[in-house]
Amino acid sequence: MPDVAISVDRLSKRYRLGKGPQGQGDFRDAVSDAVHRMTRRLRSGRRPSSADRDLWALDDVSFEVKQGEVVGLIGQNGAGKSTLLKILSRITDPTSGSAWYRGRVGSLLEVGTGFHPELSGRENIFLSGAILGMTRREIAAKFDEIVAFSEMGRFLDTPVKRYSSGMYVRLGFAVAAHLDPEVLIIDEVLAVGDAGFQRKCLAKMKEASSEGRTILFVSHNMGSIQRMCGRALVLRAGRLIAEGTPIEAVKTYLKTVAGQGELDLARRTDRRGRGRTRMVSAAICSEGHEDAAGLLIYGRPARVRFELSEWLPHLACRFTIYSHVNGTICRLTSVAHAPSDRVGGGREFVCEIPELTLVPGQYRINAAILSGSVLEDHVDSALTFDVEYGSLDGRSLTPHQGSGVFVPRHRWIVPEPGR
Amino acid sequence: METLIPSAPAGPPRDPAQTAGTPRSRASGRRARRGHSERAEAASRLTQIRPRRGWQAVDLAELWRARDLLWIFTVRDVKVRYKQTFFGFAWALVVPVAQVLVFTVFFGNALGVGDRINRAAGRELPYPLFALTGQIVWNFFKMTLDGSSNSLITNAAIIRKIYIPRLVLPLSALGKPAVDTAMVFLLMAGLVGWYAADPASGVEPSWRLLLSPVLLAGCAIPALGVGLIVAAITVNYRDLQHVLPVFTQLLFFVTPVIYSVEILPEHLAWLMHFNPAAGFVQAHRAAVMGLPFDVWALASSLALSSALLLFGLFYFARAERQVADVT
Repeated sequence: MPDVAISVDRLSKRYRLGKGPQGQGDFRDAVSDAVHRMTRRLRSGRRPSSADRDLWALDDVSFEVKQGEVVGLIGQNGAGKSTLLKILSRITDPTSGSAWYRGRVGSLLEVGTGFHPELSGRENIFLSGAILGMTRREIAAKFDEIVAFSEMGRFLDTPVKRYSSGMYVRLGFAVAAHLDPEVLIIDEVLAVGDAGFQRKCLAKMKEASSEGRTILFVSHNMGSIQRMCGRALVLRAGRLIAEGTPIEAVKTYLKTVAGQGELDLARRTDRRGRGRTRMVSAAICSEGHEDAAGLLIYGRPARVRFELSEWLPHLACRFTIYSHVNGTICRLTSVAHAPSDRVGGGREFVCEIPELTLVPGQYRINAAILSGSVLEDHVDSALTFDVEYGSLDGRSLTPHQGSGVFVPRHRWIVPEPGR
Repeated sequence: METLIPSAPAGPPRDPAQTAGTPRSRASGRRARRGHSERAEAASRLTQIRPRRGWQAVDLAELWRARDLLWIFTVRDVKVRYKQTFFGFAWALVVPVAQVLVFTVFFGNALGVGDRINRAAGRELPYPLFALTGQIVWNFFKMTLDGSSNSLITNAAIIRKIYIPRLVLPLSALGKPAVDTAMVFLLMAGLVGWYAADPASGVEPSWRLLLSPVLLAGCAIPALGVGLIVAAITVNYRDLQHVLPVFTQLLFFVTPVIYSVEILPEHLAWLMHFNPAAGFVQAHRAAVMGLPFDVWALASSLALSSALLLFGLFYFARAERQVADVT
């Protein structure tokens, strides 16, 4: 049985709202706080509770990771993923609880941490390597490998400030990839860089895990969680709510996300347009899975629904689907009519997609309502959804098909011999 | 279905890194094996994470392991300073030369400070060299103090994203002033040679010039001491960023840079004993210009600044823990 590499025991982290964990603020605040506390204590005879101002970013989280395991960490923004990684990376102390691990930890909460824009690529390799915890000797020994991996040989003596963001990320990851720690902590760094480089990074991580390194990996890309990890943890509001195989964990996570977009849409203020009518709710689901809104299955019919506050003549709906990895996928609009459209007048737009052929991954929808050519309402990311593996015409998607954008309905023919 | 979280996991193993059986002590004599044995030790080192409260010991072992990082940060600051400048490192000389010129014109001549110094010393002292021997120490002190006290803020982007032994940051602030000061030292040595050619100046090159680098290095103690304390307070109270320039400006006038302690009236001279930099300035000038050496002034500055440095180290270690949460 493999050894435990990381052990986390009842870890909690409290932040004081509007302040740092120990009362950051200006001097005046500190004085008035102290006076406040003293008078409260004198009056009630005990320490005042400050529960109303506390936010538990991490709340009593315990788990273990075995050596060589790749564990995914999923959860919405603010669920505590980053706080957990920051505590494990020793960037910040927990408020209570404890954790331990063995060996060197390589924490990659950002690519190219510490790069100095004025320094050359060569100088930054040494700088970044040292910040990550390598000695100068180790960096020098791996220098050629790092340069080869980054494919930046030609620009080694150019100041990093003249690099494109893609080049910057390449060099940053190349250094980190050669760190050889026993424990690797990675936060969403694969969301940057082009698809080719992302594949290279994933391959490097696979290699690291096959060498017996332990990896803790945060991603919003459910696809890479499922591909990379042997196990996944789901965090929600600072608590660990589930732990299991990546597929189960992703399902649990998506259930917690489901329906949230619908609730929030009416209250969103970051919208554009004239505003005579507003979208008050939006939902997307697979047919027969109305309870799991936001979770779609490849090959199944999908349904997108927008509810409006007001019905006006000549309204049209338009929405654009974006992939978190590949950018714009397609734009659908009711401006162009088709004989199969049905138009009533019921304050709703429903778009039916007979078969969803998007590959598994994360997507979002920007939606707009127009009356004639005037924009009435527009909301960025009105909906987010995930597509899961499924089948079309009885043909299942294979995992490596996740690298494109869509897989259309198709069939294969091998002709009879002799024709 | 989701799996329930297992109850509290087993505690950490009993054997921490010290007993993990690495061949460190045996290999330490052989440089070739150094990297390897440290690597092996690092691979089995147990890291414990738990809330820390109150005063803690300064982790010098960790600082020692981070010596390469300290070096690289130091070099970074030096390199970056004069990048994309035409005169490059020559700028290190421009500021002190300009300062000494202004001091000589206004204090040395116009305000008659030079005459009073000469009377107190009982001989004719060349004021430009007098000012430079003080100014070189003061500038080193001020640059180190500024650099170390701002080090957490200027490196906030790193602090938020990765753990490094934070003490490295204020310590690496020494590099830039050290390089600049080394350039000024050459200028000063040249000036000593120039005045020495004129016997009337009373300046003669002697072995005592070699004390100058030692005293300059010593001045890092008060500079880092105050710098660490200011850096630690700035973690929570940025007010100090506004206070520090005023403070150093005032401290400058309470430091014998443009005057000598001898010309101060009794009721002001005692102030020198509460200035951790004053003794170093005085001793440095005495060494370079062949003036009488006030041992007690240096001793009291050394004692005061050592106390400041010791307190600064502990106080910094205490404040540094929250730095990622509030910067």
